[in-house]
Amino acid sequence: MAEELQTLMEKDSVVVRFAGDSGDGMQTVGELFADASALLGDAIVTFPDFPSEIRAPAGSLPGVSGFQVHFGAANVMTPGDKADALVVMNPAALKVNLRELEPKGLLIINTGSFTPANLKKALYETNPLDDPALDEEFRVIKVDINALTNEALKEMPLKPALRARCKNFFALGITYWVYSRPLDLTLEWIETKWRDRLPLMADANSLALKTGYIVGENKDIDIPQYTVHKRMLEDGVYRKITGNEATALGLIAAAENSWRDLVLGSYPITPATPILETLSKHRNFNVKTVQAEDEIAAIGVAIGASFAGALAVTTTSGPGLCLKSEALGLAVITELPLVVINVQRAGPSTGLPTKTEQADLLQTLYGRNGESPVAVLAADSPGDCFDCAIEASRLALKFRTPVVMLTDTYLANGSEPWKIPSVTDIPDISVEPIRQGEEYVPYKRDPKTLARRLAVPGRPGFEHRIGGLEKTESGQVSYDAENHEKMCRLRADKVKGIANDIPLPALLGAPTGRLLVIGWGSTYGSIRMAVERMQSAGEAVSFIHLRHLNPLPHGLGELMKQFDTVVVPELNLGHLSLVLRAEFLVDVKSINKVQGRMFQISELVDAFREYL
Amino acid sequence: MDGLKEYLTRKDFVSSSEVRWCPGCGDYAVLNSVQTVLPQLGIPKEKFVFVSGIGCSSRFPYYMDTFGFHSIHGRAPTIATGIKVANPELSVWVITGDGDGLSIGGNHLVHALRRNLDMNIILLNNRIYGLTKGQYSPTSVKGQITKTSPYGVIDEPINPLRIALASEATFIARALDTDPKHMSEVLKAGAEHHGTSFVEILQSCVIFNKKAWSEISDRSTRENRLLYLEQGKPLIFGEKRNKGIVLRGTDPVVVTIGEQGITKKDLVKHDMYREDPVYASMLVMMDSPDFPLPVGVFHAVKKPVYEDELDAQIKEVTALKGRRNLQALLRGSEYWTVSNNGASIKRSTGIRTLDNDESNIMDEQIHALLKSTDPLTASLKTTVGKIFYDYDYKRSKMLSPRDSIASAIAHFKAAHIECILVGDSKRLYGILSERDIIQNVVLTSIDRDRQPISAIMRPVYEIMDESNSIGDVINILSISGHRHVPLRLKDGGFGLVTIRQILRFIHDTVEQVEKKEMEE
Ligand SMILES: Cc1ncc(C[n+]2csc(CCOP(=O)(O)OP(=O)(O)O)c2C)c(N)n1
Ligand code: SF4
Ligand SMILES: [Mg+2]
Repeated sequence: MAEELQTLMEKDSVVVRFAGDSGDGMQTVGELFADASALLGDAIVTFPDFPSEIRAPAGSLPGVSGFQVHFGAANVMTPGDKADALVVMNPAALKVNLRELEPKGLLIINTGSFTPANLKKALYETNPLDDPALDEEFRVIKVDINALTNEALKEMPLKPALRARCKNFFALGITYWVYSRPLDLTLEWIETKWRDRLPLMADANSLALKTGYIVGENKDIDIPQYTVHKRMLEDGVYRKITGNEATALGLIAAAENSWRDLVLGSYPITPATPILETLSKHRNFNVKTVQAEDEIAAIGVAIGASFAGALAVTTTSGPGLCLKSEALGLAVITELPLVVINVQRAGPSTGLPTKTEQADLLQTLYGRNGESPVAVLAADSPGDCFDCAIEASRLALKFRTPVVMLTDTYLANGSEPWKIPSVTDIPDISVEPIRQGEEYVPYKRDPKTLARRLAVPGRPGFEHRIGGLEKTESGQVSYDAENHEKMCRLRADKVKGIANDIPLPALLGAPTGRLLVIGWGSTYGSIRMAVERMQSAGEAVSFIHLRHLNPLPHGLGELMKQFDTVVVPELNLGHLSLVLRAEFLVDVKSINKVQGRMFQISELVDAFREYL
Repeated sequence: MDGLKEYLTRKDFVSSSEVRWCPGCGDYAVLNSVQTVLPQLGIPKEKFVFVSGIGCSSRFPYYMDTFGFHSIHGRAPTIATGIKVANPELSVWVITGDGDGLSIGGNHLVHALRRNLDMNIILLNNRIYGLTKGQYSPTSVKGQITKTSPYGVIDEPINPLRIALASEATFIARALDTDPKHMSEVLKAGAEHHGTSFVEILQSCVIFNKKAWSEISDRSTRENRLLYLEQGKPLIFGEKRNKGIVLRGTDPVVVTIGEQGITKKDLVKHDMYREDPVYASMLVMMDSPDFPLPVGVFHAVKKPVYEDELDAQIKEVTALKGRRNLQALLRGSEYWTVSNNGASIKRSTGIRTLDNDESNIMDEQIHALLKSTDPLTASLKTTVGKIFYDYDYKRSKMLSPRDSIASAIAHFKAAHIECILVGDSKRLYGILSERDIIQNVVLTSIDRDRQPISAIMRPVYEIMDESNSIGDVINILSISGHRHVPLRLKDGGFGLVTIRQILRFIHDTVEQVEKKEMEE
């Protein structure tokens, strides 16, 4: 086959988007496509884009489910702006996704689903396939995937409805041919999934996949083929990982390396639920997950577990964080180690529950009664969630403080190849337990970190009471005005002092100049690719991406003052920029977007250029 | 057991904090009883943890010289749950009030009870918000005048024990702050219960709700108003101990012993161990003016305990998945190794399962589609021997496993067959289908002239004989994933039963069935 390629084109990196009805299995083929690409050594970033109702009416616009894969060169860091290729399984998918396709992009359309009924469900008045503009704007390949799949499987003793279930693999087969991906991994996946339980489906899906691949080769339909230049990842052992998986694994690693059991209190909420689901599988790591009756109970369980000596965690999304605020204040005043993970989604209220946003930063920093400082940090890529979870646990344990780690829908569901760390490289984050016979003063502090000593229930001789009422150093309830101010300041100074324990992140670009871009969280990949693009065009842009948002690292203020303009792109209406303005009295400019999706690289480049 | 003094006394549990309840408050009596009971439990002092929410009653932990956590309003059960889950060896006590436990924290109380951790919950019911100085609570009675109900409460009150029972509580009891001896007995029974014990204490707030329990705690009327529950004893009460409860149908009725021929024997006998909640439910509903108010242990049943189950799961999963191996966990089942500066990529053999909702729903639908039965099932009992010769059968040529793949391909072409048996005169080693050729030869670059058939053939799962049924064949086809099953013929040769034969047989059967149905 490979010898006969005619329309072979070369590319550095490619964005492919699969879109269909949520019943069409687009997430599955998207993931498999990414897996196959990863094994060619490509860098990959994926982004599933599913509807909030998983059982929305078939063929309807809200029922459209998409999956985007960006693969190729090693500097692939986002799921890509617009797609180079779009596979649509029905009219609704075309309608929803067409604007995500590059001009002249490859558009593979399953014409079989363009029936009057489906067109109506997608609110098309006329059949878009008849519109000549479509062929002018895009490279359109029309394939009746429904009919061809049915034809390919006609020998199998399967009802037509079951044959139709294989059309996603047929579409995948075509796409494999277009991008010269090997079939073996997917065939094996099909075998593993179906062979034992439903061997007929194993046969049918493999056949659909192979036939799709062969249709690609068919000379009657002119489908172009591309080779994607790959640049290898550095040597190492890799796996594909989503942000939520990485968070879960990071927490387990943190528990192992702090010599504690992991106790997770959580209440299901999109997009944080998979962390709870993943952790609940790992009982053999002594992971104790409690699905609580609500978010308040969830953090209550975690606070109790922390008091009793566990590595205590609660995971949630924005609405859940609202419910946890009072209890978070309790953890602040009792100075217990606690990791809170907020997988942000678009709000306020239920907002766009399956879409991404970074608009919980101010809530996280300030959304509690009283002087109630917590440490805040954010992960910047799916794989980074692993390191971030360990760092959050480290700070919580070392400083006896709640730490909120921010991720978001984009990181939680997106995936990338992750270089699997060697366990010997994961830092030991254990803290020295209290010694028997030690004189115990509950709120006496380490002079350096200002952290108090903890004594867990069960240790004889250390009986003491903690609680939400203000205490003196010796742990007595105190209504004394001066004592309260002293304790408030101590708690604030303790959290501020974390800055002595964290580095200033590496700067990309010159240390002085026209424009400094400051980012945080999931926008890292987009900002970095935009900045690199501009730097390679000789433009004077520098970039720093923050891991720690409270406290901010030492040196940040000075750095900001070395630039004519400081700009902060965020998926909110200006949270970090507000904080930086207040903190450093610098006239920070803000680039904002709240559309439930990531910045596009080109969009950022344009916005940055305004300040050059 | 270091730290366990041989004898603990009440004093060991008295903390240095000055008790700040109003003089005469019922909370003192509860504190006293608890401090009396703890030394009797044989539990080392450092194992006790007292957790509370907010309220007058919730100040309790400060006065106990144990580990303690005075938390936030209503949330004590959640914190206690976390403590117990993290360290099941601790003896955990929750102290809550009627507002704390039934209003703001009502939900947590329900869920703590149904989880049934081995802990103790004491609810101090004074029918008022004490700490906030006298607003009505969920147990305040209708018409009660409080600061927020100057014209009387219009909310219907709730009964803590009924809530507990409905929440699947395994131990339910009630005691009175004015009867410390009885209260201590009840608290001790609760502490010894394996599971969550729930004890409601009728507590008086001398400042804001002085009269809440005056009728029943007043010495002059008490005997007639209270029914002390004792295991195995009849339900008797009254100054003269001559009143009792009998059942008329399913309804409890108050009777007088000696009247209308009623004797002690007719009375209901108390049995707190009854598994079903019906009896306890009847007791829980009894209240003045029609009935005396029962106190004591209502209900004490054995049910699985949360932390035991959790521990059992940890052990089971560990036995199944093996001891923790962090490196293996991080690597997962599907990974790949890049080496030689990216020149070589090797992948693991494991295959990842995709666990997205969409693929799960798809699986579900596929199973449903497959499940719907048809009239064919019966015909699956037909023997292979019968259909083999009826539907154009294929004897198979046998190729040697050492023959080249190229020779097998040539044979496929020449003989117009889709499958070849691989073996010699004595044994069948494997089976090779066109599909194997596509998968292994067309899609990869295996050297077909030099590689033997044995490199790509599939193992034979089972050889059928003519007496096997069609069902058996379909079974083997599905297990093996092959489209052919080798058949040992009666004459000693080999044949192949193909999917196509089976399908045609099924097709014919369906036609017959349909014809018959039409005729009928
Ligand atoms: C979130 C919150 N809301 C309200 C309060 C005010 N508050 C404190 S205690 C209490 C009622 C306590 O009543 P109860 O539980 O019956 O305890 P008691 O004082 O009667 O023992 C209220 C409303 C609070 N502390 N926290
Ligand atoms: S207000 Fe009532 S409940 Fe509170 S301490 Fe005083 S008497 Fe007790
Ligand atoms: Mg009260």
